[in-house]
Amino acid sequence: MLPRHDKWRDPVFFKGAHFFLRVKVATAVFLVLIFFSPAFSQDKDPSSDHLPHMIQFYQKYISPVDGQRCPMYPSCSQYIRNSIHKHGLLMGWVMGADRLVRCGRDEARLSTPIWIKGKKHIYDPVENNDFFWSDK
Amino acid sequence: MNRRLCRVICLILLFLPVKAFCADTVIVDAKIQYELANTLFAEKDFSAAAHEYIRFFHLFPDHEKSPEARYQAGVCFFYAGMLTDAARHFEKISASFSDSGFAPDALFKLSEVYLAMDNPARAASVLRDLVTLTQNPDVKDKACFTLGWLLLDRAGDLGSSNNFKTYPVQEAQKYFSLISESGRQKYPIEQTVTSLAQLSQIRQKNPSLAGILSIIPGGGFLYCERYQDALVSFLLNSTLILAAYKSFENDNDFLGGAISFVEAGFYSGNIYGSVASAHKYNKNSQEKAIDNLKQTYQTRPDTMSFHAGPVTDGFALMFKTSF
Repeated sequence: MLPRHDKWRDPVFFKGAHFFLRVKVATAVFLVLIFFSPAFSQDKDPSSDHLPHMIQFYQKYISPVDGQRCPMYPSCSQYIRNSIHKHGLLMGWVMGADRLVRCGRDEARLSTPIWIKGKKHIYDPVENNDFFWSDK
Repeated sequence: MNRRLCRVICLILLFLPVKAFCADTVIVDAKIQYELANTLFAEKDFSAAAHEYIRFFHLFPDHEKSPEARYQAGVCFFYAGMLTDAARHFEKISASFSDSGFAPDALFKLSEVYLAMDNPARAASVLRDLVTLTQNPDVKDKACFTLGWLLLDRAGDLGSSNNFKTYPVQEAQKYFSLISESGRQKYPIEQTVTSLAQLSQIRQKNPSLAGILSIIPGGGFLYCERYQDALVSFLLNSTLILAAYKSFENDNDFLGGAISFVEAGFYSGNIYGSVASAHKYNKNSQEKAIDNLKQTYQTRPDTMSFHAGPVTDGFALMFKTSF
């Protein structure tokens, strides 16, 4: 076994430590991006709309071509917009990722169905998923 | 001479202003005014009746029927669908609360008005005040019974993030228990109280445990009986973690960072979704139990109800009973 000060000379140990260092740097960059984003602060003024351009781009250009295939109401992209608008970028992103996982599966069995233009949708607004911590 | 005098008198009468013959005040009889309002009410011209009742208590503020007129004005506004005006009149009656007057009835009506305005929280608040203020056991029993069912009926609307755990069920239990022995014969609640006691024993999921189990992606969903979500969450998260690991291992830092960014969201979403699923499971269980309770109560042969209220294009009366 190598002495403690010689551990960094061990290629296996060095590679592993280097890997975790890079993961830490990537996580730190991610957190800095999130926390210093202007959209991180929760919207006090409903007129201000600091939504990520990616969602707007998706809704404007990709979704019409791709077709409205989301079985949920509001659709996943609209749900993420709503959750970001209501709780800020960090919680909005977390809630949006959760929604993408739940989209159209067990939620279809558990949530209330609604009919829009003759098509059945699963009603799952933001309020159904934040009632236990938010009164907004 | 006489003819000349007659001509002078005729001239004077001719040029006298017409107003000289008119009185400045009109004497209105309280009885006639009240009958007019009652007639309009009987004819279901509620808007006109309301204004005649208002005229009555403005013209005869000290008349013995003045409080009744104000109450009737509120009822008329309610039936005419003018809910804000109805609430204003009922609030004025109940401002000086007394068991002997119209205040208890006004508070019952006020709670109906708030329910019609889709404000169950305020309707419940009015009935809570009535339970506190009244000394009359009959009024108290009726208020407790009405409030208990209001809390159960609108439990979904009344639950907020502050009290969603206790839900309004425990409060309903409290008010049902306040009904006196004589009131229990009038309001059949034994079965309801027993069923409510069983509500606390329904199977629930622990949100904290769901959160801890979701450290392994999908574990929390599995605990909350969401098997498909659990599988998707596990596969998605494990694939992204593996992809990020491989990217960093192959010195592809940018790709690794991008995948880590996405994975961080999905992993957090997995924990959040598990906790939320446990809460939703508990809420749904309780709502189902309350619905069963309501159905049991509504199908009892000794229960009947009478409802009146405004509809889109008029006024509707509904009598409901089991047979």
